[in-house]
Formats: sequence, structure tokens, C-alpha cells
Amino acid sequence: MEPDITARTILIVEDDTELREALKTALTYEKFNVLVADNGETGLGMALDKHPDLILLDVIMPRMDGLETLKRLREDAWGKKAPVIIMTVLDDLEKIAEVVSAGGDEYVIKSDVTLGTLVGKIKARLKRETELLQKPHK
Amino acid sequence: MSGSGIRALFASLGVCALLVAGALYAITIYPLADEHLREAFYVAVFAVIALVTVVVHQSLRLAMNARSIAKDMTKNMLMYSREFFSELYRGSPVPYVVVDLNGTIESINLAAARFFGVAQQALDGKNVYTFFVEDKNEKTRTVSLIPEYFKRGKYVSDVELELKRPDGAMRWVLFSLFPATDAEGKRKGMLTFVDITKQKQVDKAKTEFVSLASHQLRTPISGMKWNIELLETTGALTETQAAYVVKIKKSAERMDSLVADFLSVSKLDLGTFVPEYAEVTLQSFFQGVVDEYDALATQKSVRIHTDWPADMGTLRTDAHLLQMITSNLLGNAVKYTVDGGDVRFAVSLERDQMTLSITDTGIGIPAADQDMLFSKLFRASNARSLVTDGTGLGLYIVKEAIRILGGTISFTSKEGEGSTFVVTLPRHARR
Repeated sequence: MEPDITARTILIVEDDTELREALKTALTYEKFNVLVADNGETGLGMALDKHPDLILLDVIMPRMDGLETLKRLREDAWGKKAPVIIMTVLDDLEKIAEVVSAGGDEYVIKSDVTLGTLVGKIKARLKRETELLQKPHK
Repeated sequence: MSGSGIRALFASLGVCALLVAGALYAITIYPLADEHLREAFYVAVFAVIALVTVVVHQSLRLAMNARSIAKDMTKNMLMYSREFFSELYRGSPVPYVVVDLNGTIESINLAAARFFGVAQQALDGKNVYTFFVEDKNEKTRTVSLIPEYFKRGKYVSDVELELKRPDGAMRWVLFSLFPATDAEGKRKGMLTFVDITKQKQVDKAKTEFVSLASHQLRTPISGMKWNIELLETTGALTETQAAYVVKIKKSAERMDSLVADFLSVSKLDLGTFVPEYAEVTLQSFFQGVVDEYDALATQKSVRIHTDWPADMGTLRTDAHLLQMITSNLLGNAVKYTVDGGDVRFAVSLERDQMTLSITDTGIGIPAADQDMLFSKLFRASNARSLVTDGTGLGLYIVKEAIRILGGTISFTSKEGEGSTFVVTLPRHARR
């Protein structure tokens, strides 16, 4: 059976207003609960407080960048396993390697994906996560 | 008067004196009774004296010539003496280093000492190649080839490389090395360096700026693209509005691809591009490239013909670089072919290499522009008027990508008739 992923909470941590709002609109349209933060520091606080089902994390941000946010998130008991998709415009291997070593397990290059593709990726990830959660109960 | 001239004069005067003395002696000892015989004898003596005089005269002339040649030579020796050449070597603003066949330093001039930041004798006996920095990303291995080249008596001219000075400071140089033979007949070499560190720094700063600017541009472009998408999905647009949206979308996409080009170039120029080798399934890869230009070709009524073996299998290469190469070449072929023309994309596999050939019936490249074709930001004069929004980076990217993969590119073209680009890539990648 297809896992039900409606009404899941997604946190968007992105400093660019236009990208953040577009993504929020698209995800709200898909019936997700959407939380937004415009820098890493606020985003980290919100993640640890609300425990969203998925975090979309930008890399280059003021106050606390995405990599630092991710490192701190992974230090938390809940945050250690929280699903995160890194959103970046940096497509060089070095940067991606850095993201992986900071605990990022999935990334998208914003300029390379359409909003539709990104929403598709988000849904697929939530389904995988739900399946993983359901398995032990079976 | 030179010594040889004087000697010749004295010698001939001596011979004349001996002849006259001999003649007079002969007359006194053997008085000739016959008047006629005596006359004949005098004539003979004078003839001999005349002959000797002519010889002496000629000798003197030759001697005078020899003297003037010697004088010229003395002048040359004064102008271009050993000291003179030493002075040129010592005082030249260009750093010179004299090495033996193995690259061991025998002497350096003042400029070289300044360049290396050492005293003039400090480097004697050290191997000059130990100062060369091997470029990790450089697949052509220029630096490691130099000693071998030089041993074979070949010239190395104007190679860009990085040097590490004894004090650890890094310098970029334009380096040349040419063979010479010393006074003992031993083969030596002279190295010259032109310091291009400053130019390199400026170049790097420029490239880094382009990289930074391009990355920054990507965020607002993504913002545009995503919001256009939202606009399209709301479905509340009139037909006219929807048409405007399509135009905005096209512009955003074009901007995106320009930025992608700038980024590729800055990455290639910074030398930060590290190829990632993996098996690429050729059939689907090339089909994907063709599909990319399908819409544009249809729009222009340009037919793309493909010609490749049924089963090409896989090639171990960097997919991103191969994409840059094929996409740019095929894109150019379609873009610069006037409506209704033909583009042919052929692939053939030999034992050690893969050959790609992309032929079009397009506008061609004017003969005068062909030399510059692969330079950065260059666009052929007829290309500029046909397609206005090109960056002039495509073929530069192609050239650099092929260089990294260790391949070759060549082309033939005639203005107004079309062009053929031929690329070869090794089938067995070094890494």
C-alpha cells in the first residue's frame, strides 16, 4: 500500500525570499504543512522545536550557513536521524563532498531542477522515510 | 703595416739582391766573350728581377688584404669578446640558468639569483627540475616530460609552469630551455624564465570573480524559473498572458545556460575541474544529446542524421566533460545551419580511440577567423550576425574538456558551405 504522506510537516530553510515562497506555495498546494526560516540559526531552532518530517536546507545563508546548521542538527538526539535535503547552487564536487561529510544524505542543485521535479523528490523521500518507519511495526 | 707584409717585402728584396749579386759574380768569373751572349744574359737577369718584383707586389697586396681582414677581426673581437658575452649574460634582466644534461645547475645570472631569491652561487650543483611544481590536474604531464625532451636535444619554448623557490615562495613562469655545447664539447642547456606570477594572479582573481558572480546569479534565476512554473500551473492565464510567460521562461532558461557556460569556463580556468571517470553507455548518452537539440532542429527544419554502430557499448570517461563536448558541437551545428539544412553526427570506435565527427551544411567559418576559433570569447564574424546571443565560450569549453580527457579536435570549414569537426578521445582513460 502507498504510504500516506499528506499532512506531513516540511521545514524550508532558505534565505532567498522568492525561492522560499515559491517552494512554500508549491508544497502547500500539495497539502503539506510548511514551516519557513530565512537563516540557519532560526531554522535550527525551529527544527529542534517542531521536529518536522523533512528539512529542506539551503547552503549559503547569513548568520549560520547550511553546513554549520546541519552539523549542529546532527549533534541532537532527534536531529541525528532527521531527513534533510540540501538545496544548493554549488555543483562542484568539493562542495558536495563537504555536504556529505557534514551529514547530508541527499542534495539537489536548485538551478538544475524545476519546481515540479523538486516536489517529486520531496514526495519520494517522504514515502521512503514513512516506509522505513513502518517496517519495524510489521 | 702588418708583420706578414713586411716579411714578404724583405724576402723579395733579398731574392732580388741575391739574383743581382749572382749575375755580377757570374760575369766577373766567366767573362763572356760573345757580345750577344752577354746581352742575352743581362735580359734574362732583368726578366727574373721583373718577375720577382711582380710577385713581391702581389704578395704585398695580399698581405695588405690580410691585414685589413685581421683588422676587422680585431674589431669584432673587441665588440663581441668573451667578456662582452659574459656581461650580457650577467646583466640581462631575463633570468638565465645554465645546466648540464641532467639539469644540474652550473651557473645562474644575477636576474636568476634575484628571481630565486638566493645568492648567485647558492644553487650550483642543485637540480633545476626540483624547483618545478608538478600540476596535479595536468593530464598532459608537461613538467615531467621536459627533462626527457631536453636530453633528446629538443627545444622547450614558452611553457607555462609553476616554480617553488628555495624560500617556499611560488612563482608562475613562462619557461624555455635550449641546448648548447660548451668549449669542451659537452652538451649543456640554457633555461630562461619570464615571471608571469602577476598576470596569473590577475587572471585567477578574474576567474574567481566570474565564478562567484555566476553562482550568485543562479539563485535569482532559479527564483524566476520556479515562479514562472507556479504561474503556469495556476491555469488562470489568458492565451496572450500564457504566451508572455513562455517568453519569460525562454529568457530565464537562456540566462541559465549562459551562466552555466561562465561557470564551466571558470572551473576549467581555475584548474579545479577534477574529472570523474565512470562507464558511460554511449548509445543512450549520444541519443540524449541529439534529443536535446531535437526541438530546435525541428523548428529550423534542420535534419539531424545519426550514424553510429548498433552496439557501441560503454566508454570510461567523464560524462560531464563528454556532455560539454558533444552538446556544444552539435548545438553549434544546428544553430549555425540555416533553415532546411543537414547535420550529421557520426561516431566510430577504433581499438584505442573513439572518433566523433559532426558535419553541418551551415554558414561555415571564414578563413580569416579560423585561427582564433578556439579562443575564449571569440565568435566568427558571420556567427555574430546569425545568432546574436552566443558567448563565444562554447568551443573554448570544448577544447579545454578535450584537453583534460587527453583527446584531439580538428575541423575543416568553408564559408557558406559548412563545417566538419572531428574529435578523438582515448578509449582507455589514464585514470
